[in-house]
Amino acid sequence: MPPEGQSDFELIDRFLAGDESAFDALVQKYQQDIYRLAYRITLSVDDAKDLAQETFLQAYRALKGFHRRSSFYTWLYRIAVHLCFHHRKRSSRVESVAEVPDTPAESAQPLHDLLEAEQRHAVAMAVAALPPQQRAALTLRVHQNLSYKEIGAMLQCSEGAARANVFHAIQNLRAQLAGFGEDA
Amino acid sequence: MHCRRIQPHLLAFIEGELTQRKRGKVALHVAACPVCASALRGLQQTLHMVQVMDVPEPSAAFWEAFGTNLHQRIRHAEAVHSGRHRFRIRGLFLWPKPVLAAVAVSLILVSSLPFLGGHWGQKATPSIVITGGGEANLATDLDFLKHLDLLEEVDVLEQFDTSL
Repeated sequence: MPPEGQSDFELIDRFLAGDESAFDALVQKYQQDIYRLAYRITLSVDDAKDLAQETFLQAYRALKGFHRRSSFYTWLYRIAVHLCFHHRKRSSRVESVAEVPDTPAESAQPLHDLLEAEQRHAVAMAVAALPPQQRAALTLRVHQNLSYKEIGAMLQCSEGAARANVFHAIQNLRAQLAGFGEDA
Repeated sequence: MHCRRIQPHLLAFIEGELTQRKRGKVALHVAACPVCASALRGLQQTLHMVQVMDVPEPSAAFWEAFGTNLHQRIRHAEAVHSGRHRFRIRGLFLWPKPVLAAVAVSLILVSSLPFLGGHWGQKATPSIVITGGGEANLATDLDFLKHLDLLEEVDVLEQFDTSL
């Protein structure tokens, strides 16, 4: 195992020098982030698992060509987003049902938990109903904290269009979630 | 300021992306306008609901096997890639000899065209012919990798912006 605290670029240097364990360290560091990003775009657990693997496979093959003009994780996100969109185009599956995690079976506050579960389900369904470009822009902004410039570059649109996608995504969600949590 | 001029800036207000002056104006308006205050709360609540949205976590076994499975896929991809390469070269020698001879003569003729001068000596425009699924995928991959290079420029632009 590589020593802790090594930067991504140091790990990449070691990998390019022939140390495969350095790539494993990068995988371990980012595998969950990439899975979550893929899930939030595809809303499918199986697809997200597969796309997480595919992202690292592509990264492995392309790492020699990484010029380090961005951070490694931004570069990795770009690969993941590209694959998610490519996958979406290939997939003929209708994204009508989001895979929402199960609610805990037992609780001291059953009614409160039931309402929370209902809200979570409603949010997941509302997010699933968003156009894919809006959904991706929203998750890149809200969960990955990327700048609009980076989001625009990833989604192959302008910075302004990325901003508009996030804005419209939130407006659409507000319209669909009216009654949940508003002015509570 | 009117509500319809304020509301498009509410998201930027929440994200802290407004200039000091604009931020002050929006804050003043929101403090005095119940409609915009409600719109602001609605935006904040929606953002919060998205932020805390659950992601179903795969089992611990999936993560334990993640690295091993990835390496298997890498080896498989490498084997397929090198196998395809070998197959292409070896496949050439499986052609009938007259066909091979015709191909060889054609290649010699085509490669000698630039030395013939005149009309035949014009420089040909390079073209890429995509003939099958594998090549199409390869072309997509290459395009994508080129695009990755371009995308990296974004961060350079950002550094440039901040230095101004």
